Amino acid sequence: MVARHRTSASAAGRVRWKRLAVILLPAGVIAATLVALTAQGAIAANVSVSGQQFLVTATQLNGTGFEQFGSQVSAGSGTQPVIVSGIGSATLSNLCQAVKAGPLTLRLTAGGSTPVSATNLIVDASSLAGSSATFHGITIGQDAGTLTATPGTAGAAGGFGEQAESITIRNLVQHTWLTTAGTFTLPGLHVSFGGSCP
Amino acid sequence: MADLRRASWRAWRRARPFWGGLLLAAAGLELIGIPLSGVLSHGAVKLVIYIGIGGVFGVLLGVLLIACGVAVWLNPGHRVFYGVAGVLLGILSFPASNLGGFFIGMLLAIVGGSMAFAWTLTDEPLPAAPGQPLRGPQPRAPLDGEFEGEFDDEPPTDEQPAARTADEEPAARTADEGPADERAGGTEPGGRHRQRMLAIAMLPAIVMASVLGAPGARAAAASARGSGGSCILFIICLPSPASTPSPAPSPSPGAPASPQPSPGSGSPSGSAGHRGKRGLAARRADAGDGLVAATATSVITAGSATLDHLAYQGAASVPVAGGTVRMMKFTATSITLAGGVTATVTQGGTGGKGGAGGKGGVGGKGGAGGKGGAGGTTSVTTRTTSPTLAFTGSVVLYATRLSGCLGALCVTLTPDSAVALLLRLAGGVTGALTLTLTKVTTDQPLVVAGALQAGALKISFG
Repeated sequence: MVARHRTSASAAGRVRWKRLAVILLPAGVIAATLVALTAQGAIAANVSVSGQQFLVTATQLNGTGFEQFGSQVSAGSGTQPVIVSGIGSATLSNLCQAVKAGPLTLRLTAGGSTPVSATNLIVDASSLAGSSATFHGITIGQDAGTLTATPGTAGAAGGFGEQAESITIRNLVQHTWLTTAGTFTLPGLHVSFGGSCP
Repeated sequence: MADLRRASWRAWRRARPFWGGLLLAAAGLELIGIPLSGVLSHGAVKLVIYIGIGGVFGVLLGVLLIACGVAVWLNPGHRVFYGVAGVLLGILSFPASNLGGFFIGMLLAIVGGSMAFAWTLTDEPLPAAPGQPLRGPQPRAPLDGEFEGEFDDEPPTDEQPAARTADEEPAARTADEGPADERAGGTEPGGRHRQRMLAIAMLPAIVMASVLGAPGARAAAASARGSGGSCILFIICLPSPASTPSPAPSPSPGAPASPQPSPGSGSPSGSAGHRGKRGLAARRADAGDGLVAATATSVITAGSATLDHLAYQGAASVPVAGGTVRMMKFTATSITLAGGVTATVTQGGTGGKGGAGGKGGVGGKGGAGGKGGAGGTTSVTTRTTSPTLAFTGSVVLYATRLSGCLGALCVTLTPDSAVALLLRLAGGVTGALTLTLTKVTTDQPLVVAGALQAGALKISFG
């Protein structure tokens, strides 16, 4: 599309390639540096995705300030029931996230050697499974509107909720509608197209 | 007529950095699209609350990028500023918004911004009179919308270094370099050299801007998170923060701002507050202080239950949303459920038992989803299954109904049943025993325990 500018002699203006390089090269260098730093876990990233289901797996999840309740989101055709899990501070080992972006499947993996860490992680999942789970300081059956483990997140009054001071889930597999986190540190970030999570 | 229109459209396009602006706007749309696609495609604005602070930067950066793109079209005279701003926003979007919209938005913004920056008029006017001040120190207002200023602005082929000293913005200066260089056929060594120097000079400026920008954004995120709860930019605040009983303790602002938040540093105040509350709940469970039971229909069934040092503490009034419920209160040192443990919770939006209507409004996310969606008349059943659930550490169990079999003897306990009264009297006996019940069913369970060890856990709907 830029070429069109070049070829038309009568154009009122066009892109100058040298000037383009003057800004594109340093910008590219900085962007590449940021990507590299993020991949090393030196910079935290913000992640928030909605609108389609995606798969999240991790070999281990450790969290403090955990709460969970049932809810609904408007997604796809009509409302979908979701399990909302809020974790104030979480670490995930071998995180894998497969997002369908149009025809492509984007696969993000991180946290191989150093676990991924996230703050104020909120996940709306349609299903959740783990090979084992350990909770400390747990309350089950509490009014979802009175949950306090993850600040600023609570369910509907009267709803069924649970919360715990800390949680460990092994071999987590979630189908989620929405993930949001205040900050996500993604050491060992790897993004690829195609494939799914184990 | 059509030709004329096409010609004028073409002329309009060529009179401005059209493609650069288009790419900038596309980048903005892409960055907005990822966090808000659910909202935009389904019209469920109330879903915004789910996105919280994580999505704010996607939206904010996206809006700014779209603004840059449109501004480049409407006001090509300032394309250098908007182009550089677009590039910086694109770079910033990587840490701030879904890895720059999974790279796509970031790349679009960088390329688009660079193209807007690098765009110049082809029809070079006569060189301006030598000695005329260059673009940098000149006020930019005359350039707005019109190109006359731009023509005047073109640097003379023989530039005077003194005129450039007042230029404080390297970007603006480089904007004037290109044409000069090209006009000279790229043969003028001095021009080339200067251009290269400028490129080098610009690098630290951009690095500084992005390095300063990113932590600043994160600090802003932290502060917004702390004060806003689930508000977006303090504008889209849904009822949840108000109806959430305890105001959200603000997480320490320093923690998210640090490059690598250590686990646990994210919400120290949050977990501390929670711990205090839970401790209270465990100690003063009779009064139910701080502990509000759910009203949604819930049942736990298990093939067997092993209860250590079970003691029936009598009937207790447990607060629920909008009142209290009489429940049996049991204490035990440990309760182990086994044999296909299933917890079934049925709650239906606003129409469910108790439901979101209990507190006269939306209790937060659930209510938002329920109310915004299909009316919430359909009930939803959540099923949690696990081979074993082992509660340990001073377990307190409340239930409205408990049934099970002790050998061949099957009993059903309710707060007012005679058996429960007997159990109360026989508390001293059962307290020393380890009971194993089979075919256990617990209605409206409310469990407080020091720890819970679950086997293979699965939570699903239906």
